[in-house]
Amino acid sequence: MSSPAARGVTTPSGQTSPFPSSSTQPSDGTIVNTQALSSRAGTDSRTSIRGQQDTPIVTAATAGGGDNGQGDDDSGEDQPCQACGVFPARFQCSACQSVRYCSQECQASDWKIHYRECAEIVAAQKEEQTESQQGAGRPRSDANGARETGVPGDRYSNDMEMTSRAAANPSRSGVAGEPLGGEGDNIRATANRPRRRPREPRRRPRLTPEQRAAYEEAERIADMKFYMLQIYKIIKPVVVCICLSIIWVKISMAGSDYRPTQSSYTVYKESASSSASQNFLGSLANAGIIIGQIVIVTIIIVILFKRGHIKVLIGFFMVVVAMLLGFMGYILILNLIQVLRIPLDYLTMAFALWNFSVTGLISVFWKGPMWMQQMYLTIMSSLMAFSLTGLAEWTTWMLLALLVVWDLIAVLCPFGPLKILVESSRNQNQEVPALLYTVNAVWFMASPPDAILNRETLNSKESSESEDLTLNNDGSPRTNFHGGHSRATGRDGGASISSSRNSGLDASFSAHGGMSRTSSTMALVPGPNGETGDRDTIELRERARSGDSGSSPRSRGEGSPLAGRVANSASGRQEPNRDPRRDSRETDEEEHRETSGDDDDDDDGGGLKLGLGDFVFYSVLVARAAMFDWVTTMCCMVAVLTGMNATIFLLAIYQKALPALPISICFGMLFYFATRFALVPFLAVLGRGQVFI
Amino acid sequence: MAKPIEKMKPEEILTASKKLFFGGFALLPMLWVYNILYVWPVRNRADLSPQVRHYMLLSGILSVVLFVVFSVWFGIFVNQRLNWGTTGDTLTVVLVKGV
Repeated sequence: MSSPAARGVTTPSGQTSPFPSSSTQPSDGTIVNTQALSSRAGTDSRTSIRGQQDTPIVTAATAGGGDNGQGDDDSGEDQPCQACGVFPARFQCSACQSVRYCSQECQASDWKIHYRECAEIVAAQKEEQTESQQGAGRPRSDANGARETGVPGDRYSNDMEMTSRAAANPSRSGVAGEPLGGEGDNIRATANRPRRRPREPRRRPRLTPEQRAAYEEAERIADMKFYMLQIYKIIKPVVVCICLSIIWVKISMAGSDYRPTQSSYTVYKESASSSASQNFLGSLANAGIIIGQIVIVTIIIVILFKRGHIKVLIGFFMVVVAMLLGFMGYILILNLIQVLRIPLDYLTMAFALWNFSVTGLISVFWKGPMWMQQMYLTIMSSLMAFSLTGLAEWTTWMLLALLVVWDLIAVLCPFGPLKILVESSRNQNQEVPALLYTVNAVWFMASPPDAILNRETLNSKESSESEDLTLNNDGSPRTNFHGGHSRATGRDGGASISSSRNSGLDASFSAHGGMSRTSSTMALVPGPNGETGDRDTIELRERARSGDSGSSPRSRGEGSPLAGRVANSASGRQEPNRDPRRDSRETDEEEHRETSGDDDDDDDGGGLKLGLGDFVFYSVLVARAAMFDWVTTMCCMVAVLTGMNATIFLLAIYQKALPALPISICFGMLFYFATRFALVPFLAVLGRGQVFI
Repeated sequence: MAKPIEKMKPEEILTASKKLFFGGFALLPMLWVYNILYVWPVRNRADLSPQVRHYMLLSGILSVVLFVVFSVWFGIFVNQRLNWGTTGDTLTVVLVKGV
């Protein structure tokens, strides 16, 4: 394959053959090709066919060509064969797609000249892609597009190009005419135009069972990677929240006279003198009261939601958020200034609190930068957790244990309130009103405008509750529209094959509480939508990201190209670049956001949403541990985070709503008591004995 | 979860920016800062109304002014509260021990 032909020729679709213009299966390409070649360059066809069997060089359609066959037809007519100037130039260079030829021979002869600009064009296209932020994806270069399409030969031929370029190099200086090179420039300029046309979904042939299985496998892998990324993203705010809670507790305890404010809800006051059974029963009563409040509030919320009183819910959540930020902020400030001995006047404090809470309300319920909202939600959770440290020790542990039970019941039982909530949100196509921490902004621009409007209002509600936390993956109404859509795309695109996994990892957790009480119930909720649909979405999204270094917009139509990529990888040709790109992706949420600037693209969705309830109760646990010792603090933190990871993995496996608290809380409690009664004394002995010094 | 500002139409941005700006007059300099942070990523967008930039500029100036005013007030308070006697004590949120 060292011949220049190896670099591949692609025919602008539609022209060459009546066959489906786009093909996933190499065989299609081959057929088309053969036809074209035999009609054109009979002698060459044999070799080229053989070549295709190894690596299908000639592809029936490039992304651009396949997507808008008509447009390319035109441009094909505009542009003569680069080598001989003949008019029906039906093949184009598969690498840069800017040059057309009438036959493979012509391409071979022109390669000596073209290879250099070809490389330039490809490089320029890549640059264009990565650099331009908003438009980044739109003018997505066809080189990439073709890659995504998964026309198997494409990438390969690119690689081949590299080698053949080297081979062609020496001969170049002798043969190549400068004038031709200049011409090439012009052609390049004009040839770029057709690329910008909007794409449409294309049809793909049905896949054989083996292929399908292979795709499914590949998607599974991609899925797991996706969840891993989600874990990375969600773990940051959780860690921040836990750390903030630890800081509040530690600072408060630094004051000699720190007395956690006893909650007025507790009927039983623990005292050092009371016996264990007294403590047990008393704390059970206390925790039972709190849980009861949580349950009642949850049920009320579910009923309100089912009846459609979304505005009431939002109002309620706004009050809760305002109280949390204002009142809890006030309590915290009192603690801090007392311990740190800061002279503070009421004027300044009122001013600061007023600013802090109003800005928080606006960012949570109205508009604002995503990071601001995330910041506020995190701070709010830590405030909530701090306020709950006022509970006595036994009560805290009892409360956490009961919460685990409640969480399991609410999410997994057939009539669990949270399950009902999730289901009704699916039925009603409405976002669950809850306070959510969203990893990524999810915008599905493809949905109809009214849907968007709807969504906007819904969203605002959603984020509201002080304590309702929902971890939704994409979940919810938005996803709905989107999910359906993409699913359709997938089908049209034929690409999608399989996948039906839903993004369902939504954990919705609701901790409702009266203001100071939080309730938490977390559920991992499957997107309201068909699970399948969402999953597809994620898949596609995922692929798109990895495909174009995360910066190109994915429009619906791209579904098929993306799927094509799957095919590609499934057939065993994994692109080397893929993984690095993905990795880089996780760090740049920013980039995604920018990327998402493209209108036709929903991209960066798929974010896991973590309910604030999770935040709060993870933090409560760790904060309680922080009141004992640093060793317990760190152990509990690690245990809780591990539990969270485990939950998300389970989510990936089961693809359904799962309660998010149980694993983490159980781990945390286990580690707390193990550490407190075994590790800490052990360390104390070691410290006394100076074993390691 | 609001729509990311990159996807908003220029009019939407203008409205939001305006609301935030006027909201800031309720003794909310944070809103002005918020306004700037919010619009910052799209400040160079070609189709952005020039008014938005005006609002950003004014927000910045006003928030700095208000911040300076409160800093000055706080400085005065910290230094003078002991001289103000009962008034100073009334104003103080938590009486600082030892002083």
